[in-house]
Amino acid sequence: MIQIEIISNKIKSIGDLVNSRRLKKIVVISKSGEIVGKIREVRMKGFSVEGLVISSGILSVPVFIDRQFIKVFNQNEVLLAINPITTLRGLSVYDTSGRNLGKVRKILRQDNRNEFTSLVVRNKFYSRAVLIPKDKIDIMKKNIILNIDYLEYTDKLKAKELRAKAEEKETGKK
Amino acid sequence: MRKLGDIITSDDILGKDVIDSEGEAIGVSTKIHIDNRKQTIIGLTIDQGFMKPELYVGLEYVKKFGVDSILLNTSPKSKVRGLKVLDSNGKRIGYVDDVINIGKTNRFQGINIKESAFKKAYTVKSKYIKEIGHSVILRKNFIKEETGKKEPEEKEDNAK
Repeated sequence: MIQIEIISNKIKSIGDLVNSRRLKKIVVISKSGEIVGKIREVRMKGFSVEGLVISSGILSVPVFIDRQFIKVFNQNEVLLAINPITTLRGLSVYDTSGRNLGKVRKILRQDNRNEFTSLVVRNKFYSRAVLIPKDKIDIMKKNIILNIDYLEYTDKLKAKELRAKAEEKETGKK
Repeated sequence: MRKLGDIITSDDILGKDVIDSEGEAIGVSTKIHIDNRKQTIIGLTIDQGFMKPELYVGLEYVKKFGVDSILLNTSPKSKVRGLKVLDSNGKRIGYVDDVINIGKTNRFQGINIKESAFKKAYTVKSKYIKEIGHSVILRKNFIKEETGKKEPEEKEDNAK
């Protein structure tokens, strides 16, 4: 091991500082203890770390996590203060009747915050996608359980659409 | 009078995925338990998979016999067994070897943690557990206790 000489007024030992050469081996863990991925890049502004780019696999899209969401950052692991919403992708979705609607394929967001507006759920790749608004979700842990019966919900939506069309026709006649 | 739509058969229960209150599929229902005297269903047996023991769940924990699955209103604490244990800094300190339940209930008073298969397990009380999710995350100043030994830490504090 190469001996490093230290020139600093504050630091006496550099053993507990994060080594940039080992960054890509550091595992990122979410608030619930799930492994989100590994560090791909560290984004900096001047000397301060602004956030981390995390990759969770070859096919997955890397995620940038702002430093405000990083609780612990040391040589071996990064512990986040949040459960990134990107981890919802792939979770199974069940309604109150125990119906398996499929898996989360897409997360629809309004901005870059760790929040979403709705989820796109699909059972098989050729099946029709189902849009689930956030307020219809009851439990979101290992999988997702809704607070609605999906068939009742879609019936209500269809009825609403029909009513709206009928009203449009009436107003058009007038 | 009973509606036909309200009646289900054993085929609607057996072989279905069982989903706990956290949304995790814990296994497949394999048996229905019936009280012979009252002639009512009292519970289910769940096959948790290869090399895992079967789990009995009382009917009071069943929320709904669903279309594709059976929904539970609880999450069995036994599934914590085998999870990774992390300290408050996210460092791996071992895995859950066993869960110490309070009697035969689904509540637990602590977990036994092993650093590796060849090392001796130690107990950490449930009050030192911060979060149980994909892993078990402990609080900052958790206390290790010998397994099987019930020694309240208040006594230690008083002694000091």
